[in-house]
Parts: sequence; C-alpha cells; structure tokens
Amino acid sequence: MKGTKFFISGFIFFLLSCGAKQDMEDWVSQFADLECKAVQLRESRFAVADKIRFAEDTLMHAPANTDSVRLRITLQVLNNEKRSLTEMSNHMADTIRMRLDYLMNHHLKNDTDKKRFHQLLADTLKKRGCF
Amino acid sequence: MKTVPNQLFRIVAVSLLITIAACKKHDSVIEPATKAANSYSGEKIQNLFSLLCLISKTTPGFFPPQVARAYGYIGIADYEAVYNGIPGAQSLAGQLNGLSVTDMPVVNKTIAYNWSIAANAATTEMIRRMFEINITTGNAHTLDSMEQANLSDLSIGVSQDVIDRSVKFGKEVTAAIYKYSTTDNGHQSFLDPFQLPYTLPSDLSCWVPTGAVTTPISPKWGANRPFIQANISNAQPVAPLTYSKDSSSDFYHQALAVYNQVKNNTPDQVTIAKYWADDPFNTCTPTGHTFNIMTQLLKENNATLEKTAVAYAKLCIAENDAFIDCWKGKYQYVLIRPVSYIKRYIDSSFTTVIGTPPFPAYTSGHSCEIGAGAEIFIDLFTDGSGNYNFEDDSQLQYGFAARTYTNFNEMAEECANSRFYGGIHYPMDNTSGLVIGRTIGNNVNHLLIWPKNIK
Repeated sequence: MKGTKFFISGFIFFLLSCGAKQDMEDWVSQFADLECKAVQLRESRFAVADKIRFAEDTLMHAPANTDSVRLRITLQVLNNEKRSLTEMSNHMADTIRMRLDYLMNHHLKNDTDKKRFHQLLADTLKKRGCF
Repeated sequence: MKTVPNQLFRIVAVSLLITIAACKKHDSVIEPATKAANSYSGEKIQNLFSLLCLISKTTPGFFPPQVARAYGYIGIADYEAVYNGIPGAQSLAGQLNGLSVTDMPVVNKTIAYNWSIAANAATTEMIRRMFEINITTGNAHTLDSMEQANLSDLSIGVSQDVIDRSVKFGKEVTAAIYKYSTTDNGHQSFLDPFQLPYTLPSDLSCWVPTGAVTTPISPKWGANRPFIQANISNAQPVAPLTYSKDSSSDFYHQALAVYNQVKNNTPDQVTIAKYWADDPFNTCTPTGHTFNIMTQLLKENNATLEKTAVAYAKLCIAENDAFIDCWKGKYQYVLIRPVSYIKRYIDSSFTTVIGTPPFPAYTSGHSCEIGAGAEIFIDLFTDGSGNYNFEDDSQLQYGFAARTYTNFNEMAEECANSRFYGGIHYPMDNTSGLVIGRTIGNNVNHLLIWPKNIK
C-alpha cells in the first residue's frame, strides 16, 4: 500500500517535471525566434555604424585625395539604412522587453529558473547559428 | 403636558446621535487612514522607468548628459510624492543644493492620501516636463495611456476625494521640482546640446574631432548645479598624466596600452566592448542601461513603492551629479582621444572597436556613472560587500546575451574596462572615472538622510 502511494506520488512528480521542462523549452524556443532576429539587427547596426564612421573618417582626413561626392552619397545611403535599422530595432526591443517581462512575472519567478532560461537560450541561439 | 416635550426632546436627541454616528461611519469609508508606501507595489513606477528608457532614446537632443539630468529630476519628483508614506523619511528639500523646504507643497496629515496615485501623477508629469516640446507624438501618447491605465488600476476601492487629492499633490510636487530644475543651467539643454559657441583650445594635448561631429557635446555642462555640492567640490579627478609624444613617457605608454589592447582583444573582450557601448543608434545611453539594471533588480526583489522610490531617487541624484562632475573634468583638461593620438604618433591606420563619442577623453563617462551606480546598488541590495548574483538581461532586447555577475564592483569594473577594450579610453580615464563615481555614490548614500530598513 505504502509502495503504491510512493509510486503514484513519484509518477505525478515525474509528469509535473516533464510538463515544466516542456514549458521551459517552449518558452525558450519562442523567445529564441525573436532574439535571433535581434542579434542580426544588432550586427547590422554595428556594421552600418562602422561603415559610417570609416566613411566620415576618410572624408575628414583626406578630402583632397578622395572622391568626396561619391563618399557623401554613400553616407546618405548609410544614414537612410541607419534610420530604418533603428526603427526596426526599437520595435524589436519593445517586443522582446514585453515578452521577457511577461515570462519573468508569470513563469520564471526564482533564480534557478531564470538561470536555466538564460542558459537554454544561449545554447539554442548557438545551435541555430545566431551568434 | 411635560411628557410630550420630553419625549420629543429624546427623539430629536437620539436622531441627532444616530445622524452623527452615521456621518462618522460614512466619513471613515470615504476617508480611510493613509496606507504606508510599503503597502503598495513598486511595479507601476518601475514600468514608467522602463518607458523612460524608450523616450530617452527616441527624443531628439538627448545625449548622455541630458538623459542623466532628465532621470535625475524625475526620480526626485517620484520620491517627493511618496516620502510622506515612508516611516522615518525626510524630504530632499533642505538637503539638495538649492531646493528649499518652502519650495515644496505640504500634505495635510489629518486626511488620507494614496501614495501610489501621487507617485504615478508626479512621475508621469515630470517625464512630460523633462522631455517637453521634443517628445514624439507616439511617446506622448504612450505616456498618457500608461498614466491613465495606472490611475484606473490604482483607483479601485479608493474614494474620489482621495484620488483627486493624491493626483493634485503629485502634480504640485512636480511643479515645484520642475521650477527647481529650471535654474540649474541645464534647462532645455536638449534644444542646444552642443552649447555653442565654444572655442576648442589649440594645444596638441587637446581633443580634436574623431568623426563627423566637429564640436564636442555640452562643453558647459560642468557648470550645472549639482544636487549635492560636495559631489563637485570634493570629487574632482586628479590631473591626467602630462601629455607627451615622447615614446618613453607615461602618456605615450597609456596610448600604446590602448593600441596593444585593441590589436589583441579576445572575442569576449570585443563582446564586452560592444555590450557596454550602449550601442549605435539604439539604447538609452549608459545612464539608461544602469537604470534598466536597477529596474530589473527591483522587480526581482518584489520591491514595494517605498523601496522603488528611494532606490530611483538615490540613483537619479548619483547619475546626474556623476555626469556634471565628469563633464567638468572633461572640459577642464580637454584631453585628446586615444584614436587621435595613436594615429598621430603610433599607427596612422589604427581603428577602434567601437565609435569614439564626440567629447574629450578624461575621465570616462561610463566609468563615472557606473561607479556611482554600483555604490547605490551595493547600499540597496548587499551587506556592503557588493556580493550579489544576478544576470543583467537588460540588453537582451538589443540582441546581446545576458551577462552574469557575482558582485556589483566586478560589474562596474567590466563596464569601465569595456572602454579600454573598445579603444576609446586610456586606462587612466577609467580608473579616475571609477574613483569619481564611487565618491559620488557614497556621498549620495551618506550625506543625505534616507529612511532605514526599506522593503
């Protein structure tokens, strides 16, 4: 009798843990979809920022030896790209922040869960080739 | 004949007593006792500070000093709307430089207030005033909506009298703090962040443009009024090493150290440089990053309105003063950036990991502000050791993995070093910046009277 009770309790605990594990994997998977896009946007922002500063640097230091008209047009194109990237990044940041707030407030209430979430997220992003 | 008037008298007297009792009972329903600030959640104010980050990064004219100033006054308004509900708390009026007790509205202690409603009114109104005419339509709309949603939520079960009185008090606090802000020399600085005209000194040791921006940001910021006078008088940096192009000089070695670091950065160091760079086009400046960390810590600790108000007020004062002090030093020494020196004397093809911001090198703004912020975190969340396990997930939204720290000092040092890894600051900029920041943070914790044992 005692053994049966122990078995049933163990089985219920097992089912609950499986459910919790499955939930965590689902949250991470959905969050990783967003985060992967955010990583790509971040890389694009840094790349455009680098192109802008190098173009500006060239214009500043060697104006006589460079095709300044061409560089100015390039800068204009890059600044348009910057504006569009900023808009997309701000939108993505809002979405991620709201999603993260929701997860933190409703599901990831203790440090262990938060750590597990961040670790799983990092592993998932790596596996998907986002980093 | 005598019985009838006596009976009438009794009836009238009893009716009167019942009426008085009923009135008293009625009064106690619409005028409940004021609840302490620690009986309210701090979440709504924390959410407003998250919105503040969005507003900071999307409002024209808000560079790091302007953002630190805006946060500064918003945090003070929030605290002033709440401190009456915190046992042992005192107003910052009479403690902050130039803010007199008589400038502030007073509460009527015989009637009830709702401190959460007052804080919502004060904080939203102060955000509106700090960003004023430059706030975007979208942000203004979001702020209005959040204010209304918070008010509706907080008004459940509260009498209209208490709601009106609390909102009125919150707005009066904001009016007083806004008036105070207009005399600090930074009023509406977002309209002219470059503070022109400014003449750059022509000495070889001096800053030269490092990009398209040919005039440095906010050269007169050091003349702003600090919240704590000692933060300027007792926290100025020692002079930087003497400028020299001699390859055996200490100054040259500082630049060479930057050069070698950039050439030999590990992938992790490059990540750190970018993580703390507070990113091209897309973050609410270093101050906003530090506030995002504060908000995360408050949420993780389920901080009440009491702790939320005190925590933001401390950090707001520290960040505002850290930028004033740092900028004062920057334009006292007007020191050339490493990239300009290295290109001139070491390697003309040198490039930094991240963009160099358009203002002088000494001391590092990041180091000043994170040094100040770390002292506030240590005081609020640790036993003084700085030990605290947390993952800064505030940059996830910008595509960075969360970073783990076990101590706030470790976090501050990583932030300061990130400027060295990025190639934009000499080591001395960061070490001196951290010293200044820590002094300011300590001043905020110890020179002002704060309530104890907050939850």
